[in-house]
Amino acid sequence: MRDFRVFFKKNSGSIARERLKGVILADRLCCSPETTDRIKKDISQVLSKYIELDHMKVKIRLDISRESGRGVKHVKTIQIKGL
Amino acid sequence: MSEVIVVTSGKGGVGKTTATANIGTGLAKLNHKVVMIDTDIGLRNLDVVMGLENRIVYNLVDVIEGNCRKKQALIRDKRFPNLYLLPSAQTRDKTAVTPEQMKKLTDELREHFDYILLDCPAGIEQGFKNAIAGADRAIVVTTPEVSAIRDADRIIGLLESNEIKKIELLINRLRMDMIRRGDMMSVDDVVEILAANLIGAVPDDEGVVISTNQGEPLAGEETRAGQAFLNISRRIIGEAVPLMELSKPETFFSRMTGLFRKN
Repeated sequence: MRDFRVFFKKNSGSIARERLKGVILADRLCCSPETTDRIKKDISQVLSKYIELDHMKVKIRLDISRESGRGVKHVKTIQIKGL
Repeated sequence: MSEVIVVTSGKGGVGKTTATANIGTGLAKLNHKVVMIDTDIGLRNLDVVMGLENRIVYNLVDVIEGNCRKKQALIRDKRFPNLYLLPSAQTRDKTAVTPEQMKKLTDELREHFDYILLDCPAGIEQGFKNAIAGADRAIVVTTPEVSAIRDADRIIGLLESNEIKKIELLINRLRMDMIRRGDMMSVDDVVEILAANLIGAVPDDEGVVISTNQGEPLAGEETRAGQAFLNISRRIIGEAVPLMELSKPETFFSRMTGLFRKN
């Protein structure tokens, strides 16, 4: 049984990637990972004021991209799945 | 037209010193005049990796304090006539040198060398500030691990705020077998997360340990890491060298197991 589970388990490389993205975002914003989670929750609440959102289907991703040599540029991508 | 390049990482143990030694050796093999400076005062290592530990008379702090002339402290590597090492002091600490003094030293060395490579200590304190003070270009070494990549991100931010224009990423110790089965982040993953230019990727190679044991840098040797380091040196001088094909030819069996594990 244990051997079968190996095939369905999320591999550790993608776990590392997801964790890193969260940590780096929090580092760059100088806030805690919980704060970024709260930001995401708030954004979804604001959105649901105006649009019908099925909360189960919506995934909000925060991202920061750097423009070289010009300090830190904040870009927020709101990805709405299932719309 | 000389260039001052700092090799840095934030996190310790990712291979800064090995990278410095091999990139320096590679550049010397490509007929450029190179000096490598160990800026890790109190924890000197570049000399042993290069196998030059028995030839040290004077060190970086002696040069800065004026106890000797620069020429007296520079150790010429007999294996490569164009390669020199300025060792660090073992009995002092990083407060013995200031960023201004380091900048002055690297600027003076520009007259005599094509490339000045600075091996930066781990951390982001005074030692790091000293090492980056005179640099035109930075090579950020990281491994495909969460802790090393996080530190690399922080270092890239600090380098940018210190107006270092050219920042490039070196990913060290890649294990293709682990990447194939999804248990290690790939080169593309790391590049995407850090949003930095890649200067090279070096596979995890037993040869590196052996070469460090012997004090013989392996850049240019017939090992995978040796070739990867020489390729990095070529890219530094501006040659367009494609990324080495890291993965070994796959067997039918490994491909099938890889397919299953991906899901």
